[in-house]
Amino acid sequence: MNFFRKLKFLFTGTQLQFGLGILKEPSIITDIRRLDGRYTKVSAWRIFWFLTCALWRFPGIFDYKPDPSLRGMSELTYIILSLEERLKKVRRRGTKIVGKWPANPTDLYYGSGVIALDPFFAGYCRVLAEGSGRLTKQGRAQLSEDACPAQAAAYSIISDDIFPLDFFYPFIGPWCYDSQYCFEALRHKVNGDFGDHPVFNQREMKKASFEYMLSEVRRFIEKMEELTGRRVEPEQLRQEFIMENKLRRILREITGLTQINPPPINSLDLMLCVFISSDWLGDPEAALQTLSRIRDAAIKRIDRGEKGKNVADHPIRLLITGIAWGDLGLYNMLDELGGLIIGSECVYNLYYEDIDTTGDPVETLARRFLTTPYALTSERRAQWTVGNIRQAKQVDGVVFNCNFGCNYQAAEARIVTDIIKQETGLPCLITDVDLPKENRGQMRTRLEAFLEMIRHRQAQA
Amino acid sequence: MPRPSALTELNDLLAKRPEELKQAKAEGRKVVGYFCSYIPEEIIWALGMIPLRLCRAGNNQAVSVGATYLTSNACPFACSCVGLKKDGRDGYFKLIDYVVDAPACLQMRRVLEVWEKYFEVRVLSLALPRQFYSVRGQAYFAQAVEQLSRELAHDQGINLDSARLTQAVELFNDIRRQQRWLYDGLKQASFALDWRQVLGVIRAGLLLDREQYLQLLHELVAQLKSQAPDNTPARKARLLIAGAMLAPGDDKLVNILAEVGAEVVMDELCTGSRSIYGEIKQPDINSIAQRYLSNIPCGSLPYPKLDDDPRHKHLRRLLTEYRIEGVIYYTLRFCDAYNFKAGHMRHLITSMGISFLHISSDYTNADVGQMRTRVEAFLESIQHRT
Repeated sequence: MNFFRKLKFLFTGTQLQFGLGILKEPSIITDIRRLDGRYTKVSAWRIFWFLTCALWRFPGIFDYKPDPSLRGMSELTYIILSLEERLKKVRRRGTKIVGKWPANPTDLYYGSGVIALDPFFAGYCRVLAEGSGRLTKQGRAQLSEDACPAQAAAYSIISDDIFPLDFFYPFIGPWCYDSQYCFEALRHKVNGDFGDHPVFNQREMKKASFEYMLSEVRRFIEKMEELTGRRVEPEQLRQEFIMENKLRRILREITGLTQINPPPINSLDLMLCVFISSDWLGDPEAALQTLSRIRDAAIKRIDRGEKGKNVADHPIRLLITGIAWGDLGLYNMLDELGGLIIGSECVYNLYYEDIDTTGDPVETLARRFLTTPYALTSERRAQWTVGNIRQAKQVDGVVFNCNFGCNYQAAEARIVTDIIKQETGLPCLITDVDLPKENRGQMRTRLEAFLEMIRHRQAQA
Repeated sequence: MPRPSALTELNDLLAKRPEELKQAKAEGRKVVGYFCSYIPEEIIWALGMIPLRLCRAGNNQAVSVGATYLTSNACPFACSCVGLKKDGRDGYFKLIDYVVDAPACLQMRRVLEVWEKYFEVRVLSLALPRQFYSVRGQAYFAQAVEQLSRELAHDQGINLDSARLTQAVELFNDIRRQQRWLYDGLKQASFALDWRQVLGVIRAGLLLDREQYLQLLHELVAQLKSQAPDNTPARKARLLIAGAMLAPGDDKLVNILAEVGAEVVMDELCTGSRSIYGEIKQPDINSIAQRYLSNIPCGSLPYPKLDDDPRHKHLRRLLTEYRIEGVIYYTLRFCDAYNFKAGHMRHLITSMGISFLHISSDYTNADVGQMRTRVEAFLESIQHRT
């Protein structure tokens, strides 16, 4: 994007609204504060200035339209885009950054005194922010031309030192199959180990699987103690559960707001909020403050009878299963077409319920690992999703998305959607996306047709 | 040099095998299918059942059918397993009573979920830890094997007899011993069999009656020992094929190599030499579990440290012992377990001064011409170097 176009964007439209929105009230979100005990208040001016400069660094953000009038969205954009520099800053102070993969509970990482970084999420955010598929293409050249775009980007951001990692310690289980091989492919770059999550701990092996999982969680904690030189006390883990339970509750509340008429939050804003549960962007405290603001602002909208920006009057409510669309522009497109995302089955795994704070925290975590719906068989995962659909008041259809190259979601797509269709009668659409912006034309046609079909069904009913 | 008669007998037996299995089933014996080399066949055999490794590939029509269940983003072998089951005509796939699954490759685990849901096949799972190298992993796997043997015994309505288990362990140990002898023979340029023939023998062992197979292996080894060595001087570059698998039917690369006159002398494949190592020391569950988990690991199981990766150590040993000059790393599309390792493999192999070629393909014929050109250029580059 040339200079004049950037300038035009800077002083008109969404970006200016973002800037002005944030200047209306002082911001109190923290810069990464954890573990070294330092809190840094980030002023509204700082955020305004950062977002203004970010236009040059991250031209890709022009492509997405979050709602600047929803209070908290500017801060959320800030903590997403500033992740790299915040991590580098905290690392200079000596705090350790440890890599994880999606579906690994963040409580264990933060509770063990390190900062969690999910390269899968961070890498794809970077791809979107840059607005080009450069990192994915580069990763694919090293891994495989058939690699999932997010996995390839994850490889690139670590391999190119864009994001710092002191150690890579993911838990590997029966989801996101390629993540374990991406972890292996990065062995030359970063030291690491992995926790082994038993695959499909069938009933007969339940006790053995639990014992095994327990020993894996303990081993992780020991490694973190060695890495940080500090002992991890059970109370520390429990405090982290309490803190992150607050975050999970807020996310459930925000997700639940999509069920209200008119919905106060649009698809993109909802997804931006829930996406951050993957690693809380290095700072659960800041995430908590930001998400609380967004929730409060959305609730105020309900009181005023206002709907989210670009949300249709009577939107077709869709649940996205499989992996959520990484191309954020698709959420804007869906809203324009009269649809609304009411949640993501994939990300919901991270916040669907609180973690028990009463028992032994290590045992609690082991149990949590083994009962994550993603770690179950396709059939049980589908039944869990059916249960969630039944609990929601309004769901009109289901989209199952696979990333190109994702063997995991792709292999489950048919079983999961067949069961959902059979049990709920809802129409299901299977989509397949790759790099951002690559197949939006086709996606528009498919989504239009899908929404049309649902409207037709509703009219007939 | 005359072809050993045991090889001809082996082929005859293979042709009759589906019919033989049908008859065994009619007599009440159960046929237990499996895909993964982590399944301890000894236990299946000791319980009076017939172990059958379902290794059929190369059928692109089956891939297309399978893709309607798994999507076209899945590995062609996984898709073809679904397609062949759906089609129902394959002589082996239609005969199995149930499948035992050890999910090293998680794509294959989903294949079995599809089989369970859409084709109503009973699947028993063997919990396989990813940490094959740890004491905890070993202990967990031993419990899993114990559990599997209990389930199978329950299904058969019998107890696992220790005398029969001893017999099974001796049988399979001996099979692997004979197979190792054949692969060892390939180290010598004068060996009477070529690699493709040895691979054929190994593949036959996945399907034939194991006692009959062992007998033929002994005959073959005896015949080869009595034959005079082939003293035709070898002038071609010695190649090794590494990667995931070359299942029967996936012969595109092997045919091209034969057409261009390449001399493959060894493989490092799950359907080839990888299954021949390791002895079971005692006829008990723990020893059986230990042999399977501590064998050369499948690429589907990750290993956290690059500098002492057991796969690399094993490959380095093979490259030296077999005096390899070039490695063809063959992978299937969408097989991330092996494709993602290509970078480290390339580094490992080229750092030893050995040429490296990575071919990632599927079961279509679209890339035959391109593959031939790449193989020819590869061979020429090795010859040029030497």
